[in-house]
Amino acid sequence: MTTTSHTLIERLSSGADSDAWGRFVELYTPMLLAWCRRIGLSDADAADLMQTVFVTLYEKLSEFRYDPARSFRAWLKTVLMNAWRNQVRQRSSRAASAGNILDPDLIPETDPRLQLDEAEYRAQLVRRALTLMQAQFEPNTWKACWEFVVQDRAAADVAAELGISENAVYLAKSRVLRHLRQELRWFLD
Amino acid sequence: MTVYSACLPPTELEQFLLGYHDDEQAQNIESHLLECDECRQRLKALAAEDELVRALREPKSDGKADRAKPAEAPADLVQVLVPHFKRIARQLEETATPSSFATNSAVSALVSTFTAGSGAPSETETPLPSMLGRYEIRGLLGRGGMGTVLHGFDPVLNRSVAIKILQPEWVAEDGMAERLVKEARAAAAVEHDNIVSIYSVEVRLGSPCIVMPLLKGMSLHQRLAEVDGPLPLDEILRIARDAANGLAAAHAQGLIHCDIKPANIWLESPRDRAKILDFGLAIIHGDGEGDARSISGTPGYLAPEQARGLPLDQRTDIFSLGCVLYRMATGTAPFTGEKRMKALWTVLSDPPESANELNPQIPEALSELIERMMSRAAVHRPATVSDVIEVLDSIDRHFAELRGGIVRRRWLVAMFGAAVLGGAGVGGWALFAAPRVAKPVPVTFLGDEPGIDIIVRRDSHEWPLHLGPETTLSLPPGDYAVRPTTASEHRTLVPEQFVVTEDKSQIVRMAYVGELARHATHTQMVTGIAVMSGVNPPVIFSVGQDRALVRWEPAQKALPVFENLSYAARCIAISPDGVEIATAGGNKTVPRETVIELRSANQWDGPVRKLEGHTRIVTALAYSSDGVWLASGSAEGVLLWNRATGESQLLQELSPDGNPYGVASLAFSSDSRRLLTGGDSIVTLWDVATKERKQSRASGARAVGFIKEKIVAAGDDGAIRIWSENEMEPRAFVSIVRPILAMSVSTDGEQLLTGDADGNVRLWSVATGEMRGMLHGHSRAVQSVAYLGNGRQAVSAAADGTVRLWQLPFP
Repeated sequence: MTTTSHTLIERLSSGADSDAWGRFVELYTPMLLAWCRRIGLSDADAADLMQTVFVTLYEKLSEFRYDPARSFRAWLKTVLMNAWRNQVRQRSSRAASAGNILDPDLIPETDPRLQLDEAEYRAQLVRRALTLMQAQFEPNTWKACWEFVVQDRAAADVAAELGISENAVYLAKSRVLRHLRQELRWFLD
Repeated sequence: MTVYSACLPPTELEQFLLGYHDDEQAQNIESHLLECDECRQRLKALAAEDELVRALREPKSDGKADRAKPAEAPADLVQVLVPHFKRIARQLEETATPSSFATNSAVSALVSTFTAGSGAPSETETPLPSMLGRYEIRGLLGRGGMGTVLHGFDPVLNRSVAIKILQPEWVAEDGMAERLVKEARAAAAVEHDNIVSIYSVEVRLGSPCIVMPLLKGMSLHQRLAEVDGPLPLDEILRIARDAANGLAAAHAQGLIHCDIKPANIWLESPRDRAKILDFGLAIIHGDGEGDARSISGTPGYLAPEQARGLPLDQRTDIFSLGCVLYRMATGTAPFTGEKRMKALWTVLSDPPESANELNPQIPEALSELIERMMSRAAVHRPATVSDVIEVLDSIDRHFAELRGGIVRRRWLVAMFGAAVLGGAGVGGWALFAAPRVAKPVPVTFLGDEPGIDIIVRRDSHEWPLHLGPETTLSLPPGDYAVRPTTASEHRTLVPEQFVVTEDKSQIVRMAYVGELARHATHTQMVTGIAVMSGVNPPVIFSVGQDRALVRWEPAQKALPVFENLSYAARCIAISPDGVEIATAGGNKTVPRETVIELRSANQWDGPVRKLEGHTRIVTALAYSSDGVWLASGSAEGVLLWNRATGESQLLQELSPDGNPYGVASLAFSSDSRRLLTGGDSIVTLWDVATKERKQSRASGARAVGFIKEKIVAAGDDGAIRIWSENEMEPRAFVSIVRPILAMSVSTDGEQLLTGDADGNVRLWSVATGEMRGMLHGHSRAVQSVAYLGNGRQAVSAAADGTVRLWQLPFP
């Protein structure tokens, strides 16, 4: 298994790694889509808005320098809100049917639908990342971590079921979490 | 670097469990743990919980969490969107550096090299093959975003051709190769003066190659670069009409181009005719949602619905053609800008300035037409290309009337010039002359599936044919295409083209390859299949995690019959005489039910015998070909059962940590003297008589088998390895990268079938290691594959709950 410090943000900002963008898109598409649906966008408008957001992110991330003081989550929300405002403005200027669409200028910033709530954001991100990472591990290692950590089962039970030692379950947890932590550095903040 | 010889403090251990260390530190701790029982015990007492772990843990229903439900993002929509957004990176890069994509595109490079005579290829990083199929390779015409274009020579028909080979990284994308072949085929079906014809489509090492005529002239892209400004009005109208006529012909066949741009419009010399090139990204309209939703095209000429991944139709091409007209009329592309992202999404925002504002020479009517063609909403565009042609014609007539006198005089000059230059032109023409007509040759068609109607086609001639054991047609020499009279989306004719050479009768073996039948009786993953040998029509048994044993006779109209088992089944085998079936598996919770069950293959209500011995889930079963032995594998190793006595012996190989290697696959040699076992990391060969281990080799081995005397194994690394007992280095096939979970060897040992984690069944030639075909259908990982009888059919089972019967191509 390849090692150390290939955090996704480093791979994205180096610009040399074409898989990194794919992983980023896989990671964030469900979350962004969920956000778009919460603010009541149709599928087409959601796709439109997400495209704008991803284009912006791609542009910015490729020249990005890691700064632990900045929160990615907060920044992402700003990008989303800007994109949404633009989309709504374009729509009204073309006098398209307004319908019962939310207006970003009228809705308070504190509306729960707009939030990328920290706990929720993190939960969605880490589970998605763990699922996407499955292929990087021996099947048993990944499965052991999933059962032990995500499903919160007893190490002994997991070990018995998978036919591995209890120690191997602990090692699986350590290894998988280590990779998860490495890959998601900065995105988790 | 910290070396841990002493025991670790609990905080350190906790940090370790949570994955805070870097790789090197973690490895040091792991090695310490291997030796230190005390620390190992201490691990168990640690809670080792932090934000990350809490975030991962399934939310316990605490009433608060409904907003956190991730169910708000439907998986199917995510699946549609993800590939689209992934492509953003590439599209942006391509817009950023137009020289790498547009200028250097395979097609324009083709021209410059060709017109420059024997110009040396500019890039030579990979050596060119000397032959490709039957074509001699004479040079590189160019490399571009999509692939490489080679100059080839066809010795059979004595003509030069351009061969476009798709770049490996494009083919790596899911289904790209198949998509391209399908599309090229669709394009080959359209014959029109304003479309560059396609001679044939071939697949070489998984890369589709398109063989086209080698054209003289230049692309519109080059013409525009040459002029560096608007083109003269009569040229605009001529190119627009030619391109529109070509599109109309394609649209009439339900074909959309999806990538109309200047580089894809060819200006053929000396006849000054515009031809549409490269239907490589075309999709067949109406051929399933999946296709219509996929996103393609070139930024800057991309219709809004294309950029948004919405369904496309012929108006998508009208939009792109409008962009091309705008470019010709004004000298600038409608949707470009300094900022590279603009090319992608200006399509989604404001319309560009009208063409006659930028170039007053452009008549109002044309400017309006272009504007309508580029309407953001498809409903505001002309509905069909014929509508576009009509407007173009009326503009043309109007101007012809205005310039009547001048036009007539030009004609005179043109005719005079042609007469004078006539002699000189002949030499140039001869190069591109059509092959001479020769007398017909008998061609015999053989097929092993009765009752298939096909159409043999060359240029615009068609010969209907009822495929039987043997049918003969008399055909003039040339390239032929074949298609079924009634197309089936599950099946493809192989071959789809053939060549008739002069004075040489020949035989064409045709198979209608693909899915013949399927059943979805299982409600969960199907884990194993067994085929009753020596019976025709075939009888196929399958087991699955849904605890069902299913018997299927595809030739019968009746539904498959099933029997409930008391365990989630993992494997099945049938005795060589076809009398007994063995099934096994086990449950994750009590009762574990890890017994092997034996029952009559034909009478399920008879008694069920049980073989008790395993304590862990049984994952593999195999009968020896002499019928004496039954082998069963699990995480504990292998039990070798004497079927006569019911006694068993454990064959176990221990890993360095003292645990036995698990067994996921089993195979007996044809003489029943050797047993092969495979697991996650090791392949082991056993002597059946002495129960001794003969040989072990580290290798992923989800599937093992014998090819005559040789051993074959395949597994998670996607490679197929073949070696003999006394050979050191295995011969590895081309790796497919995706894990291989299932394999079957044909009875003659010349072909292999594999099933992989992507749901593909692939067919391989053992002798050359080449992939001979790929069968699509399963949506999830293929768990088991098996050849049927004479090796002309196969059956597969997958995690998608289906069992499918396939017709294979001829070897």
